[in-house]
Amino acid sequence: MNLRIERIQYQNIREFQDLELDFTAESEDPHHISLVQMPNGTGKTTTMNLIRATLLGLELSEDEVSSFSPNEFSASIGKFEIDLRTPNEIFTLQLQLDYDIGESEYRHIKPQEARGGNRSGHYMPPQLRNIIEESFVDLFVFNGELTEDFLSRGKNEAENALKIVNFLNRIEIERERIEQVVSERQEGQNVTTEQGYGNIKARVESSAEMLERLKNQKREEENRISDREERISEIEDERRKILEENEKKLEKYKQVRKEIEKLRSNLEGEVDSLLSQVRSPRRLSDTVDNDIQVLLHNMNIMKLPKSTSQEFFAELAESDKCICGRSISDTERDVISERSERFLSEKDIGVLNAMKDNLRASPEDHDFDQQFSRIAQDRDMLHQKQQELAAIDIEDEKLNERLEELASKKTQRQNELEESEEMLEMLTTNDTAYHDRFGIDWQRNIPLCKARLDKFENRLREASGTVEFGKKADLLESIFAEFTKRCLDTLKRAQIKKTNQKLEQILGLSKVQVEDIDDSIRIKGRDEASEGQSLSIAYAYLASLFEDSRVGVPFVIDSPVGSIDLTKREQIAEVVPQLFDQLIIFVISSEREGFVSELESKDIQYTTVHKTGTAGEIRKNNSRSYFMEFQSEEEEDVRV
Amino acid sequence: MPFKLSSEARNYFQEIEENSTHGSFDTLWDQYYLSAMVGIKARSRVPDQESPSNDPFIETVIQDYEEYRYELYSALIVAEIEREGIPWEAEDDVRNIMLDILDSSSQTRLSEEGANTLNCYAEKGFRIIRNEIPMRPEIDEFLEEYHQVLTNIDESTPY
Repeated sequence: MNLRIERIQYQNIREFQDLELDFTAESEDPHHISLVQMPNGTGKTTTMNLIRATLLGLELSEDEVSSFSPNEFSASIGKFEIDLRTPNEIFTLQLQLDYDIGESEYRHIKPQEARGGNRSGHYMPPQLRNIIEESFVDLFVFNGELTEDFLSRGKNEAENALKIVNFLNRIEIERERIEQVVSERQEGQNVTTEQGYGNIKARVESSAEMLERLKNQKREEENRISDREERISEIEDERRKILEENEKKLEKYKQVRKEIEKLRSNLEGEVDSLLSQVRSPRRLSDTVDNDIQVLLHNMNIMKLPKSTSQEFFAELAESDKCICGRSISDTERDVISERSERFLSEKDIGVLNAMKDNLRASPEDHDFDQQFSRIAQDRDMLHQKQQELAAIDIEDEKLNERLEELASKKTQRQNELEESEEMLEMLTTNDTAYHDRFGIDWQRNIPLCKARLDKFENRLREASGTVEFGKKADLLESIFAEFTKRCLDTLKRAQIKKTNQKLEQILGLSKVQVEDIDDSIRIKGRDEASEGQSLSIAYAYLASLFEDSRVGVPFVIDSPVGSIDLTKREQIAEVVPQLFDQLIIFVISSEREGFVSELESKDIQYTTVHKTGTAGEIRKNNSRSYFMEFQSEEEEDVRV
Repeated sequence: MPFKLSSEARNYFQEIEENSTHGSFDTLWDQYYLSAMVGIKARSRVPDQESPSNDPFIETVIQDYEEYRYELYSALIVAEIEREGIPWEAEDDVRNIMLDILDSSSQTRLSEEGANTLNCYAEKGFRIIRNEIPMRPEIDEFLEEYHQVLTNIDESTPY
């Protein structure tokens, strides 16, 4: 059966003198999504509380009634109405608040009945009567804190929600009643020795009390263990992150050092090449080359070195005859000897020839500017890399201090964890050798306490003659327990499958998946999810819960992304519209960015509700553009 | 006559090497040659009496410079001709300078006088370098600045 909220109306409640929020479209069906933008302090929480109270027909205390009275104008009567529709009927639930005497009263109106059917008292159609209960209503007039509890280790809200939607909580209530019935039966029997019966009863009571206390201790210890494991895991995560960062830093350090070595090696090569190039004076300087050309040119003019040597003329001067056959006189001999000095010696001719030969070949040009520019680039890059290397602090003292601090914290947490585990073992062990070794008695151990309770319960039954009845009660209790367990196991498997299908559909493959529901939701392959993922999981879980429920309910939620980072809102905006057929979402203007703007639905109603300067006056606007541009005065003040 | 490089010059180049993380001069000949080329290009040398007297480092031209020695000697000859202001037409004087500097009987093909003259140019060249590049940079920067000193000599008045 589907239940839909069509309209809510306030009269003289807090800020609202007279306000109606109609969630239906022209077709008279409710909009898929109704967004109601209300600035903080305008009454979102009040509205959520009123919807919950009115659906359940909760009795309100005098204080609660007066908490709804208007501050800015006077009124003695207030009224809150919800128009509801099921496939079979349309009806209105009305909460009347009498502020003068602090009392509340419910009325219900069935317009299709004669004279409007306005009757006193709360009403719920018979098919919904056993379903619309507080724990169930909390799941769809949604208490936002539950999303966090669904995934928190040590909390059992996820499992409870499964029980509530599938009515297994009713079985548990019945189980508790069995014990009460047995007790009543025992009280009713005639007992032979009143004193003996009293003694046994006192022992049963003290054992039951102790058992309850020990179970509480066990729960506390389990929560403590869970907390401590979580803390240890957080410490390990932080330590791992630090080490990973350090590793990255070290990698970077090695990489930069390698680059520096390469640049140095390049520069060494360039210096070697440069030195080998400058060793030729003609290559080193064009002007030197010119000088050498001038020298060669002048040597040619001077015919240096001359082909005939000084030694030839010295020899000729000592001969009697010239090489042409003529006789050489003393006068001629003197002239030849004197002039022979103008000629070079053979040795001089040799060295000058060697020099000329060597200089004849032109040197290869070399572009020193280009090479210097290349070297300058490498040098700049080297300086840059050296600065980069200096900036990488691989011996970060603060980091080492933090690592030591974390190691010490981890040891401390591990010791605490061991203490808790020992305490839990002491509370729960069946090992008699352990009991004997540490002198554990029924006041410190659950199995021993339970055994003592069973013993005295049996004695009590014997004493009261209700043994058979008690045994049957025990049997019934164990049948209920087994039934609940089996149902829950089957439901959990189905719920995990459905939730994962939804998550896959919403977030795509290889994203988060639920592995188990062990009181809380456990995520596959990781200890925790991001805030956006946690909300997606919680919403997918809720939608799966309601999918096979006998009742299709509207989902009413207050500020779904108020505390969520902008970048993660989009994920929630994608998830939520796919999960419910009717969504009523109360938002503040800061939630528009990343959430409202990203909601995907063809049927969205935008309503803005805000106060005016006049006491008690409220304005309502149903335009999308007004909704998207609205800024409350408070928000503007904050921006200024 | 051995080739000589003053201890000041050696210290100067050593400091450059110490400042350098990438590369060094291969030999003292490199330092000597770079100094000599500055003196030659500047047509400037120290007087004979200021020639480094007790700092010989080698008697020969090492293999790295073997193929370029005549280029160096020619540059030295032209520098001496120009420094002494001898016109190219004065053939005997030009020839005498050449023959004073060269000696076919020496292993280096440089006469005693020629080697001494080259030492005087190297010493002067070092002094110019020290003056122009006082900071002792890394070797690659030194070579770049050195090249600039040579260019400046071409464009400016003699030292």
